[in-house]
Amino acid sequence: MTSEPLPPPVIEWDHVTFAYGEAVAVEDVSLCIHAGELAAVLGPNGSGKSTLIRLALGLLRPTAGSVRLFGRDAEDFADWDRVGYMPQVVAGVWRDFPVTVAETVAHGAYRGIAPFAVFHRSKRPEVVEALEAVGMAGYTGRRLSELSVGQQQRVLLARALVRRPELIVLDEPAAGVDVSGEEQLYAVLRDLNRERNITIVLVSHDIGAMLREASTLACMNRTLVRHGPPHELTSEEIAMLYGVPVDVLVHDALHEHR
Amino acid sequence: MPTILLYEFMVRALIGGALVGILAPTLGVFIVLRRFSLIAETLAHVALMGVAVGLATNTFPSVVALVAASLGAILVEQLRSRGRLPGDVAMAVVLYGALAFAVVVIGIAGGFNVDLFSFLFGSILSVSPLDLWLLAGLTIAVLLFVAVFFVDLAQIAFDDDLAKVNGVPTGLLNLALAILTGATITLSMRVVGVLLVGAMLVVPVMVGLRVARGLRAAMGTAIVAGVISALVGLTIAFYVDASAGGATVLTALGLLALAHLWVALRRWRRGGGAGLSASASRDGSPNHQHHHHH
Repeated sequence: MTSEPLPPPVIEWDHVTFAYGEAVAVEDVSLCIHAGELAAVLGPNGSGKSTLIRLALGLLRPTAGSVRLFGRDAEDFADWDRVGYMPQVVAGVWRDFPVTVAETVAHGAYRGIAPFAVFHRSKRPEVVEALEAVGMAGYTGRRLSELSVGQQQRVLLARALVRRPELIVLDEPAAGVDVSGEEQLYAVLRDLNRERNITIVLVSHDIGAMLREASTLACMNRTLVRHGPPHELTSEEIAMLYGVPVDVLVHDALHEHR
Repeated sequence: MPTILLYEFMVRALIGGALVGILAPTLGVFIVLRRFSLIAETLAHVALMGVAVGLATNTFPSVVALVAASLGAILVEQLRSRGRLPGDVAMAVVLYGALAFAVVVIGIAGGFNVDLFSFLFGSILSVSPLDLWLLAGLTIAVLLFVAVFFVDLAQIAFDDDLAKVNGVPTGLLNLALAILTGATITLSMRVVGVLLVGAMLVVPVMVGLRVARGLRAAMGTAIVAGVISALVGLTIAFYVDASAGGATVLTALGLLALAHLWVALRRWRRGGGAGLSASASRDGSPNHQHHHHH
């Protein structure tokens, strides 16, 4: 039997360096994420993992090297229907923002300028469908700020899903969520990845969860320390990445959100 | 007919006030939600610099102020989006720079006069037919701008990065919003004055944010609050001979207090019906509220 050809690349970082002024956040990273992966970018706080993602989405311009999204230069990328993004939810940041769950998801359904969309109904079939996929269909009329952080995260995931993207990028999707909320979220992500074949890239500092959930791990500590399937990652390498013995880390990772 | 409407200047002031009441909160919603409220104050002082230059050189103060505020808006937006300075520092630099310049020009031109006072505090006597036409034109432009780009502006206010990944041209829209804000502040100055015009972009919006559940409802409520504040405030100013801007903003603050009271009352009534357990206060929200009103 011949070996299967590799699926097409979705995000390619090619010798990427990025610095905020003098501070180098990402140094000479070359990494490729292929279609169908559930890839985790793992690393301690300040390791440049969020920066790596923001570079992939064209939100930052690399200081050196290049980033390609679906084969196009990330800065010139315009085919945003193929990409869904879920930013980090910070508790309370939308406390005063008057927006309903249906409105939040409906806004995600538009690409680019949406003239006169203010007059459209928010509760449309694709909006309800996206909310159903994350188990939040019963909340359409609720104000976003009244929901728990975990629920807000699932609403934002629905927003990322509503245009049926091929790739979803999530920044710390389980930060500040209790264990049951975390489990629900990962169940949804697994389902999207396996049933709908959506490529998922998530940024996390949670080693324990990522060892369980991800199909590939990219370990960042300013440079790319390691890239490969989770079972190939040795505890020595994790210890090197974080500078702490791994059993302690995994234990912490599993309990810190309680 | 009530006496107040027999005076032509008063009718002009009321129409002007109502237009400001529509204009300022319409843009103010997006400014407040982006936690960018200081831009109103900044551009008001840039406009004041324009007024000072206009008065000193005898060239239409309103027009010079309009140009100055637009340039100020572009400058602030550039400083902010390039990340050269943090947003609030960028605005502080522009605000104090403009104010210092205005004070120097006023000093050279021979100090304060009646005209300058009306710009600072607003006046029901100073609204000219030309001001009204400009305000009406700007109101149409702003309503059209917001109707066309509502969802895009909402996305930017919600999360800038999220908007960008949805393909929203955030830089262009932020710039347009800043320039329209500059124009709104300049033209609103005649009615409420430089010192208080910022309040009209912020206080009615806070009323809307307090009582509404969705964004469209919040904007609608803010506009209603803005118009009521202007009409009631100007009427009070007429009868007790008070400052137009002061009376208008105090009325808006009164509405804000009422909004807080109303929301507290609504909570209290719901609390009495649904019990006070932790789960009820967390999960029982507007969906549940309606049942208790019947």
